[in-house]
Amino acid sequence: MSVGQFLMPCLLAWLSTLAQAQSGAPAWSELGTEQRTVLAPLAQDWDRIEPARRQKWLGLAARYPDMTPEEQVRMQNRLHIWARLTPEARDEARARYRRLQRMPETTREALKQKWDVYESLPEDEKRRLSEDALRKRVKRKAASASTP
Amino acid sequence: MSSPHTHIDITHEPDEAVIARRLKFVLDQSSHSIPAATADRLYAARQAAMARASSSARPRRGMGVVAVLARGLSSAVFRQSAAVFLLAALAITANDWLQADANEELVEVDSALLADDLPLDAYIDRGFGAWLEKESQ
Repeated sequence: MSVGQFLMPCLLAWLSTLAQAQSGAPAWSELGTEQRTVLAPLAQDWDRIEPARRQKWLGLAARYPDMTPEEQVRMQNRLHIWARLTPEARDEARARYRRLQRMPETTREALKQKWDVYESLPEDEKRRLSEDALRKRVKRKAASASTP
Repeated sequence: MSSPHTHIDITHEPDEAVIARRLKFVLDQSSHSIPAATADRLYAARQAAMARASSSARPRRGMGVVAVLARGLSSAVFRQSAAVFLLAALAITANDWLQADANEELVEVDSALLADDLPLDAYIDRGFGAWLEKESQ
């Protein structure tokens, strides 16, 4: 078998994969009815969202039918806020979610009440806590960047 | 044909050059006695053979590109370029797969986070995490 005979199928397979990847990021007008309903909060921004992120949103829409009605409502209400966060803010939120998921079940159940308590704190205190957390995060990042 | 040169004595096993010279002499002698009709047929056959030979030696139109491609496909430069191209294609494809895996993981976290019963602000607000840490100490 010559190199050409081997290379040609590989090239075709690769081009086909690339074509599929490109076609996997459809325009808003190409979405199905259900996808449009789920992703309605993103309708105006959809065509400006980069293909990789559109794929993520489509992945979320695909999970939507498996959610409970309460979860579906929560997700739709939060989609717009989530889409407008910076990538760094989304990463931070995911990291917090993962951290909280590692907590014991009883602690996690109590989180809702703890959030209510935190919400009732004076704004100054919440701001100070937030600034402290940001300082710690910057320090951690600087330390990990200086570590060889 | 009674000339002594017309007789080839193979008992002495002369070398090939001597045999060739003798054969040439015999043929030259004989060619003078070929009938005119036979000579004409031989001439026509020779012309036809030469025409065939010259047409097969010249590349046919349309085959030039194929010939160039065939030569190119078997060249060392092409093989090296093909290997580099193939490696690059494999690297890009592997990267795409890894990216797809990472995306899948993000979709899983995002969908759970967006549907969670804890408000979204609890995950976005930096102060809440810090306050939880302080409370647990």
